Amino acid sequence: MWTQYFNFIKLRRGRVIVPIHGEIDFSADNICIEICKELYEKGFPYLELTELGKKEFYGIIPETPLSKQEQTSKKKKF
Amino acid sequence: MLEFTDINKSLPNGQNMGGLTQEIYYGFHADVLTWPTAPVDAATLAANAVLTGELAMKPGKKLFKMYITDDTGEFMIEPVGELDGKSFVTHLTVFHPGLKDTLFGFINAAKNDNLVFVVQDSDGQKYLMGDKLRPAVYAGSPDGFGTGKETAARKGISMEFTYKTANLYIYPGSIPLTEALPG
Repeated sequence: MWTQYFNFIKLRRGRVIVPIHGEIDFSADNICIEICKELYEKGFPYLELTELGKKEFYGIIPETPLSKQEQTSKKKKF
Repeated sequence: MLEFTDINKSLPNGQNMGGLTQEIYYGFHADVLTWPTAPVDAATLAANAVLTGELAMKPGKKLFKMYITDDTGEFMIEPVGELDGKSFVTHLTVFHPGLKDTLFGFINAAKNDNLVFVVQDSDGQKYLMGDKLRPAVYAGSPDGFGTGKETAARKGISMEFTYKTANLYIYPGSIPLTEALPG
């Protein structure tokens, strides 16, 4: 499902006339992921990548935030 | 500085179909939050004619679509002005069939108010009527507005909207038919 990889932002999930592909109803769950990716790469302002999307499409692995204990021990080493 | 280039025939896929698609998109000018921006100091002819950015609506607001009868929609550009004072008036003329309450309600609300339109031609190119300074306005019904005389006549509303602009632009962005969210 496309919503695993993209968040729909700035608008309520609904219909938008988009370049090339015409009207897309973003309230639907079955939008082709390739279309979403194409729109995103062309600067469509209403889609942003989820962490899973960043990893899946561009290999961007989010940094795991350190626990407080790990942060403290890291500081002590220096 | 703008550089001239050759202007060749350039019809991609041999396409050059006239007319508009059977939907136009409209809203109140006051409901627009931000407008796409016109080129400044464009370097090429093409860049000199394309808006940048999106037409974004205020929270809770959106654009709406209106059906128009095929082969009745026209987006026409009229050059106006004296020497050293040239600009353009764009004219959108359409026909919507029927004399329904929704159309009467639209005309009642729109006739003296400031509007914005996005229209799409048969090759998918879009034109924005309205900008930060100037709206589109209702200019009348050039092809009739009523029941028609004969039974074979077509009952409905022809409408013309005009928008005055210093330059001509293509709008490459999206058309939001769903409400904008706050923030």
